[in-house]
Amino acid sequence: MEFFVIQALTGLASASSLFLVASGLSIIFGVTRIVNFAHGSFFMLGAYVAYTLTTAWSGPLGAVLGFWGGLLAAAAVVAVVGALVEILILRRIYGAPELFPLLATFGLALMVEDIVTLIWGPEDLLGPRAPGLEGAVSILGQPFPAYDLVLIALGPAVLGLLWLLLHRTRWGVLVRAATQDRAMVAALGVNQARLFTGVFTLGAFLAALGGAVQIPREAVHHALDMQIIVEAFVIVVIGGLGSVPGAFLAAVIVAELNAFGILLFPKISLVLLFLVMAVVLVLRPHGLLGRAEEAPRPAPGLAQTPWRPLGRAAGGAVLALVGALAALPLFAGDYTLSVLSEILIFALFAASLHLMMGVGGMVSFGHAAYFGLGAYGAALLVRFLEAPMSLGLLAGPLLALAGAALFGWFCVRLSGVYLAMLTLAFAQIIWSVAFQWTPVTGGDNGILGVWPSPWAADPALFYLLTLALCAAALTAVRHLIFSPFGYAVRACRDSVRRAGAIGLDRLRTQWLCFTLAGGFAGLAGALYAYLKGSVFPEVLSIPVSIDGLVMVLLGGIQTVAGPLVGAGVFKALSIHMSSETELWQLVLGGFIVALVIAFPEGIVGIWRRRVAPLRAERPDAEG
Amino acid sequence: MTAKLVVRGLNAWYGRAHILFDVTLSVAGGEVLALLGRNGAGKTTTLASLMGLVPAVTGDVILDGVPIAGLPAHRIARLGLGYVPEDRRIFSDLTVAENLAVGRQPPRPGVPAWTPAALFDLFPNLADLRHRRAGQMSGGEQQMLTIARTLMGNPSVILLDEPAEGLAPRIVAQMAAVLRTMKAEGLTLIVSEQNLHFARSVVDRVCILEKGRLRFEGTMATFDGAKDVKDRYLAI
Repeated sequence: MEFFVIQALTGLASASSLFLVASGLSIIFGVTRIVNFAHGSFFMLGAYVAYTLTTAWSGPLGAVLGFWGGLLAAAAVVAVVGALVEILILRRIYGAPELFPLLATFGLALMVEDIVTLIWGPEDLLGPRAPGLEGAVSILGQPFPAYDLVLIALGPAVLGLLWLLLHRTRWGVLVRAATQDRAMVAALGVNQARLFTGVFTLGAFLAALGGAVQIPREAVHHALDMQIIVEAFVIVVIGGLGSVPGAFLAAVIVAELNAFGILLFPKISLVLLFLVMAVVLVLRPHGLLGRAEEAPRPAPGLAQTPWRPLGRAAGGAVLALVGALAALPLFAGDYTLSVLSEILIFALFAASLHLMMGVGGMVSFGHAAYFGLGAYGAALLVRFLEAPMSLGLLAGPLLALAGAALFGWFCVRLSGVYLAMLTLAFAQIIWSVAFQWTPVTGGDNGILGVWPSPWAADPALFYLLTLALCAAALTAVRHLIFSPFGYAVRACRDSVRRAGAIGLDRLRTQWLCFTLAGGFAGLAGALYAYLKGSVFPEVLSIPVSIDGLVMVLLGGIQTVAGPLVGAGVFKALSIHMSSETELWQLVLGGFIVALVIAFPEGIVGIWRRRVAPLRAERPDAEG
Repeated sequence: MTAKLVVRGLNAWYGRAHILFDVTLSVAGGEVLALLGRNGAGKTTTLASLMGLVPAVTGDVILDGVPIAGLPAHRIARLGLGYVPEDRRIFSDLTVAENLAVGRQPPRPGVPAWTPAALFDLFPNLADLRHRRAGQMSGGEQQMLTIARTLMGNPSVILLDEPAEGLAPRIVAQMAAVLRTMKAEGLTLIVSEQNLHFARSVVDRVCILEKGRLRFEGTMATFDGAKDVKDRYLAI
């Protein structure tokens, strides 16, 4: 009994820090509609800066002032960083499609990971203890860290202050109004840009404070950001986007799950968090305390240019490109060919994600699930049945298709960020199954020996096989987009109500689109398994899903050819950089941020709008 | 009379769709202009363009001698242009008092300055509801709140987009009375309507839009005499 009380209290102490991070994320999203991927970086920076300041100040300022002053000053420093990020980067791209700022914040997160290593080194840092609170107090005869008691009080205190700020100041009222309808707030004379800067500053302050107060409890290291960002997203979604009390409730739930999950369900501890999120979203599609959002106002002027099938000239160019790629084995070495195979595979992966989010309007944060299911489908067949590659290449996509059909049935019942988070939850569930079901999947050790059949063992032949399959699949995706089914999918994306009024069954149409997209990702995954000769749980992990998002957004989500260009550029760059420089995350992140600012419509989008019209007025020069 | 708001050669696009074609109109200080036209004629786009809410716009918009085309919406609002949107767009999670607080701007010289107390006199219904969440009010009360919220910014010109749309006849009569009060206070109004019904008693001049083009401009007397114009551009 005593033990459970202590465990519950420990959970509450962790909840405070999680709440600080999640509340900032929630407020930022509510007002700016930016899914701020760099929020974990603010948390991590807060911890690092607090480490430096508390260490440096505890001498000259005295232990107490040095410690607490250091924590607050660290949060303030990072708040300034947050304001600069908003002013220098995000402000330039508010007119871009909705998810584009996400790409920019992702680039920032990559950069920050390398920057903290440059400044503070790769080692874990242990921060100072809170002066006067180093010891333990006795609760029910059990020792409990005194500092954790302070943390337990911190969460509700911040909740109360935030409530006062949002309800008792005009600035807070403006924030809540902008959460509902920011264009109307502007039409009433409120400077949106300043409001956004303020919200971003507040969010960064809260995240950094959440990181700073953790330093007496856990070591500071450069992977803190990814660890916290996922939990923060989950909390925001469980609580309801934009709801600060919801974030508090969800932070407590998540922290207690973390505290007890490992004790009660050790076999499924990793998946517990995402199971809970999936259940909450299926039962309450807008989170525990979130309200149904009013249909987002389509931003005027962002109407998409209608897509057109390839004209004769463009079709010829594509054929020539495929021909050139097919001729490459005559010149290129094995390494180049395997890199190209990988790029082709990711082009298919990106195209399948684009089918779901660009064509279907269903943003996925967990597309790796279907890529990974494809890879594991093939690998499991090899492991248990010693099946030949042809069967594996069939089984992988089928498994992915089945998985997408199952998960998609739930996902299409949600929309927007909630849908995206449910896809993430399912992907994480699959990931933890692969990670923890060692007897079948090999767990962390993966499945080895997934090699191509002898007839395709030569890298050149495998490359040609990959090229043929990817080209066929990409052609199929393209045909799908321009088929009556594709029109129906796009109609459901553009207006649910009008699509319903002309007799389209939205749920079925989107479900089918979701499932097919999963199947194409599965083919890419199966090919990837044979390319690498092995499968590890990493193919199901969040970074793979994010890579997919980056490729689609980088190429231009509002174009058909964009994902392919995005995949080529991103994959080639990341392979090249990781072999060239230690600081590849810094370079790649900087490159992404620069691209986002320079080409807020994606690479292909900018080509279509700026370059193509100059060349000719012909409308069929589209892609 | 000097022109308060001048619009010259206004064009607007949504994406590639060209919505407004060279719309030119002007309204004098204290005048009430009715902007008429069928559904889809471009009334909402015209008003939203003036307010700076449509990104792709060309042409001149001059308010009190100051060019405002291309300025961000909040700058335009601060120069004295008020906007009452078609679908009300109240902040439903906020209370009535908070909705008014969002609209608050400093007083402007030469323009009536509104306070919540003055507005509660003008809209007595709202006074009792000031701590009610706006989303829980009736459509008529929400429409009144939208106008009150805009008046909190002390505008000199107000754009009202179909303010009587979908309201009960009793509320429509109240709305007409509110327009009369605003006119009596010396405010300049542009009111859009599908056909001239409720605003008739206050309107000085009429403009008619059809398919994004200005088809008629004239005084009430001319408009009333021009049956062919009504048949061609307004009759359904």
